[in-house]
Amino acid sequence: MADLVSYVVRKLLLAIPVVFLATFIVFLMLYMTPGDPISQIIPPHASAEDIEELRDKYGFNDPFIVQYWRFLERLFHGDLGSSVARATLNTDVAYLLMQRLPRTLELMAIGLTISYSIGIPLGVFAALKQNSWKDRGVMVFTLVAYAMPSFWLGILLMMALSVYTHILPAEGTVGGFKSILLPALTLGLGNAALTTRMMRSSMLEVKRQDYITQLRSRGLPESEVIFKHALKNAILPVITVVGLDIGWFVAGAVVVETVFSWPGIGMLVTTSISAHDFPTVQGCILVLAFFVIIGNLVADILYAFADPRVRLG
Amino acid sequence: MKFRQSMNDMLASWKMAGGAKQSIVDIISRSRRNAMVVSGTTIIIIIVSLALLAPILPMADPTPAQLVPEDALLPPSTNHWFGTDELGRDVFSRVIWGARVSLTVATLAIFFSLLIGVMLGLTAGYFGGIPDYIIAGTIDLFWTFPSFLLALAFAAALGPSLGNVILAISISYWAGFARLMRGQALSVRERQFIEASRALGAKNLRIMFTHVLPNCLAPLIVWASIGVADAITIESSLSFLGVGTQPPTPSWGYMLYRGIPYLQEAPWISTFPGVTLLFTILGFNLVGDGLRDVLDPRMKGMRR
Amino acid sequence: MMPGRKPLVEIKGLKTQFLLHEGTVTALDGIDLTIYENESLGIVGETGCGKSMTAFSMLRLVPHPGKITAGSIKFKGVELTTLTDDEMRGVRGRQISMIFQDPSTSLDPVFTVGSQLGEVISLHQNIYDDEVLRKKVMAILKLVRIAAPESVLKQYPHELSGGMKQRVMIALALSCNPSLLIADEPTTALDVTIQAQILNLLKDVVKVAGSSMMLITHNLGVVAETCDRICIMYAGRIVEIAETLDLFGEPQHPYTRGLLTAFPKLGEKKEELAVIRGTVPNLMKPFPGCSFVDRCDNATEECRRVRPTMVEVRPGHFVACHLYPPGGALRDG
Repeated sequence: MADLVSYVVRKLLLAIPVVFLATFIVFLMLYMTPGDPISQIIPPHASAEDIEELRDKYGFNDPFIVQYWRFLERLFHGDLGSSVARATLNTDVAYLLMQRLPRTLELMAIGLTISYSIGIPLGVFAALKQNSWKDRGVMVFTLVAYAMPSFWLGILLMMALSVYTHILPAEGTVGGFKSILLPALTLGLGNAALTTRMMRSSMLEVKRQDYITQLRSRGLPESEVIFKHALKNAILPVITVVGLDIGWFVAGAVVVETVFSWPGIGMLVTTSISAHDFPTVQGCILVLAFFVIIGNLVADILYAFADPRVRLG
Repeated sequence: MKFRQSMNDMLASWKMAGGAKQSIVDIISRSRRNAMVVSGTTIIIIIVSLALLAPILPMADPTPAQLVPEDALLPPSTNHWFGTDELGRDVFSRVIWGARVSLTVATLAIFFSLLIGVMLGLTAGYFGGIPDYIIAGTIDLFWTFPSFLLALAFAAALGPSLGNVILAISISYWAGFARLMRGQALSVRERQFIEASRALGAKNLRIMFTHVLPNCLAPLIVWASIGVADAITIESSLSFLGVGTQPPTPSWGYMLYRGIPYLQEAPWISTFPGVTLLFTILGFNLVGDGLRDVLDPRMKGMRR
Repeated sequence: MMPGRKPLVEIKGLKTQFLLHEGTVTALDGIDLTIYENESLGIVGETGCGKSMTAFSMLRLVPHPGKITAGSIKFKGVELTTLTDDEMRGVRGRQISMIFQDPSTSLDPVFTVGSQLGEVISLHQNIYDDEVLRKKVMAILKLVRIAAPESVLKQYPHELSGGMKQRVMIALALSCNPSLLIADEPTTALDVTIQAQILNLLKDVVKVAGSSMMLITHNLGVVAETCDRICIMYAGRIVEIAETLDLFGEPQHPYTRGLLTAFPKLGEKKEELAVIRGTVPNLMKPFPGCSFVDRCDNATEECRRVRPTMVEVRPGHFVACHLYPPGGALRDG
């Protein structure tokens, strides 16, 4: 147990610099944005000195580091600034994010489920039928799904399941379970390709190992050798990818939510960018980056739990 | 983004083989027999040729100064092979010109990433010590950060333009190349012939370039190929969201976006750019994956 | 072949080949071998000579793309090559079991020692009661002289030392009292200091259990200590079989003699290490004559054309070499 705890602690500590990098990048974004940051609040008929005074007052003339520090401070207190978009003027960005977060989480959860429910069995199947036409068929599917950008897959599915056949609603705002299906399916299918490939190669790798032949030599039935022993070993690296998958999903969510008008954080990013609502964009990117970092962390911990060898290293 | 695991696989098998340098002739002959490499290369050649030849091909103007509204939403015909879009422009021509945009952005972005990544990676791996510590740490940080988000952040902040998209992708991509080079440099550093070279007085830089680099050429090409595919995806995604290539410059992503309201009455507006986009990405992926299979020493010959 | 002893395994004309698209590799080229009850047989040869493949063929675990292409393997009178998969599984682990070469890669890393042992015992002895299983597992761990069986039970393979892992492997192999235990290079991957312990353990437990042992190794020293009879293999063929003392005292086949001289002996002073010149032949190219012909100092034209047959030159001592033609006088050599 002790080694597991120390491993978790180590990983947590390592995640901290990444979090800082995320905040830094987000802050850098605002800093680099062309245009005057206080352009929104300049009163009409202000003179040059007045503008300069305003800048001083809001701290925009201070050195970079100081501004960054203040940014971090505000962040620590949960203050992400206020939205400057017309529709949501002066609403707390944090509030906006909180509103949208559950939607995105729902989408990712269902997407992940779809991805793994398809990917793992398909990968095992392909590995067991290696080099047969069934295996090749699966590989072709993964190649194509892997190459397809999420938004294009979304549009295709939209056409197939909504526009021409009216099975599922195309707009996420309609509500109800059905409306989440299309976006979740888009995300899930895309990621299923990656999962299938991973599972297949992991399974093939495990099947070659000495201990598998050893197990057979002990007289174990083939089904136990494969599904009890090989599978447990093979699934470990696939679990690590869960964390990376979260990263993929986050990127995918931004696009897919926009395609289907799903009211989550991803869609918020897009609308804020069009509305030049930079505080909101910042907040979104920060939250999404956070997701990814946590996702990686979770994956690392899960892996340590499952594979006893990792904790020592 | 998604192929981190495959990179680990490749690094692992590379390590296993001791980074064995396989003869170029051998590689090329095996590549010719590999279906993935052949089909991928074919696709790439077709798309690249079309893109390069775009200015001299007898096509309609993709961004005509005068729009002809009566021509809008025409289905595919002998006049307009891919039909026309909502503003009356010829879709076929826009698709071909869009290829120029995507390919230019992707190749430039990967090219810069490669430069930065290789430089930093080699330095880190070869010299070790403090520079390695710093660079390796930075690599890990950027490695974990999803490249699309990074690109999105930059594009949003700096304003949408081709240059910014290239910059954004380069910044997020260099880590992959750096990692590869660093690993190679580290392993090569320990090999005897480096010691021998040094003993003969060769300068560090020379060693780096003449010994380390050639050994890594193969995985670099694989990685670059997959990288271009990824870069095309990112660029088109950014254009789709409106922060990439700006209209009226034709870009596949943006064309797809504009076609959404017309999916029922004029599906060709989205479909043709979409299919072409898919094929292009597929082509680069095939080459990268296929080359990886060819170069993977475990795939050779008999088992046990 | 030997009077007064019951044969346990009778292999006749066994051919195992690998069908690759570059060609066919003949790993075993017509093996005739008998293992008797209650004996320890050593199989000695260089890497690639087919020793492990003999074991895999007996268990019908030849890895793809290999197959048994000819011959018969009779175990207690039952023909193994024609058994169904289910029937074969009943043989594996229960009648014939095998210890692999490298203990660190032969144990499933994600299951504890106790669960792996329990799995085998419960499978072959149909025991499902946890308590009874546990007792049996403990008993067998003690049998292989593992010091603290209660804690080892709960440990994972990577937490054990090489020697301990090998003991666990032996425990696994013996857990269901097989009639034949095959040990494939059981000590090669271990520290020299542990090797002797493991070999002695093997000798003892096999004797106590009344099983036969087939010990595969490239190390003549190991078989000298542990085996009653020794079989020398070369390039997929058996070249000599004899009782241990007889083999070391009167080696007949040029290859055997080469092996023995190459082995430096204590107390002997030599300027150079004697080597057998040449390298092993390519198993993809079929050779009509004797496989040793390119490395043999006594080679003749006949050796190149005709494959030598196994001849009993002394009681219980068999050689396949043209120096010893069947039924004839010994040539000079």
